[in-house]
Amino acid sequence: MKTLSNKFFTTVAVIMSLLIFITPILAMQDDFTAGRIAGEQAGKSKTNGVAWMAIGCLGGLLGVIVAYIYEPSPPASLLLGKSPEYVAAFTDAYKNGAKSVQTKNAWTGCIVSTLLYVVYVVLVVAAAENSVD
Amino acid sequence: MTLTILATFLILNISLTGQMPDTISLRFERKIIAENSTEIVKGISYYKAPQKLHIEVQHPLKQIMVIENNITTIYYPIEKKAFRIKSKGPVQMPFIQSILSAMKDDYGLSDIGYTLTRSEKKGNTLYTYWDPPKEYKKQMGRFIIGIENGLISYSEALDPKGKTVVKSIYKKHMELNGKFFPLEIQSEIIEGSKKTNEYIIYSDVKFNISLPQEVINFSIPNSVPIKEIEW
Repeated sequence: MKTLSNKFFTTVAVIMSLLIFITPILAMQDDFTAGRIAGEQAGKSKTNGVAWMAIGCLGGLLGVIVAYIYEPSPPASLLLGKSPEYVAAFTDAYKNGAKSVQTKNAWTGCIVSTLLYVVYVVLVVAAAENSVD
Repeated sequence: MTLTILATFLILNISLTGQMPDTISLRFERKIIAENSTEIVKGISYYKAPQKLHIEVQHPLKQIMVIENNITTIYYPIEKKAFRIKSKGPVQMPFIQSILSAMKDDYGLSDIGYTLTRSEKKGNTLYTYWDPPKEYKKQMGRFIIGIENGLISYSEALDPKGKTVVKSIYKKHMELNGKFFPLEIQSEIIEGSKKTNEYIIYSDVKFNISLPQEVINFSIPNSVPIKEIEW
């Protein structure tokens, strides 16, 4: 009975000491996750999708390249009062989030402009064939 | 995007014009309520013209943020961690920006190319409607300012499609050299279906003071590693 009681107390003590170490790690993990989610959302919402689609449409492939190169800055106020883990996760995710929207929109613009060009060529060829007939 | 461009304009415009205080210090309290979370940040902010801002966050953690031109430095004195973010353009200055804007006629809107298109009076408030410059109409929308008894009481920024992006209410104005600026700002920020409420309270506002030595000479200790981020 005494051995069982000792084992019980030992187990409780081990669990409690583990909790003491794990709690701050979990808090850091929470901050990191929150920073990553907020960064991605901010990156996507701060990027003007319409403008990037226009670049893709006007510049063709060049627009896609520009979208890969360009990286917008996050507003400093979003990082105020946040932990280092949050800032690290936010800054990385912001860049990735913004870049994915820019690239997606630029590719869409590029594909749309290519399709329009193909339709234009088909119409011109069809018109030319009709005039020959 | 709209607000970023507008803020960049204001930063450039403010830094190029005179009649502004050389230094400002103030205490701030910012409360953000978004969906299920509430966040409160408290601290002191020091501004040195034309483009340097030093913010000491005291709650919920110790954090120092320094913005100078296109460099943002963030230092955590307890955790001994630091970030240096280099941006391609000027960085928006939290808190100080609204005070500097308030000290300009028309909030500096006419100086940056906005044109007054309409005005109307509802009750005691005069509403003026401002359209962006032609070349930025795809990125920026209309701006509405409400003035009550000569003091700004309301502002609203719209996106190019006419949807409201930010609505702000201004209270408790303080005077400096005949210009009034608000000590309390309540804003509602709308991003799609997501709404965020922000409450900012300024106190102990001082102009043209000598800044503390630790602010003037601030630098990150050599022993602290700095994570460099380039945008």
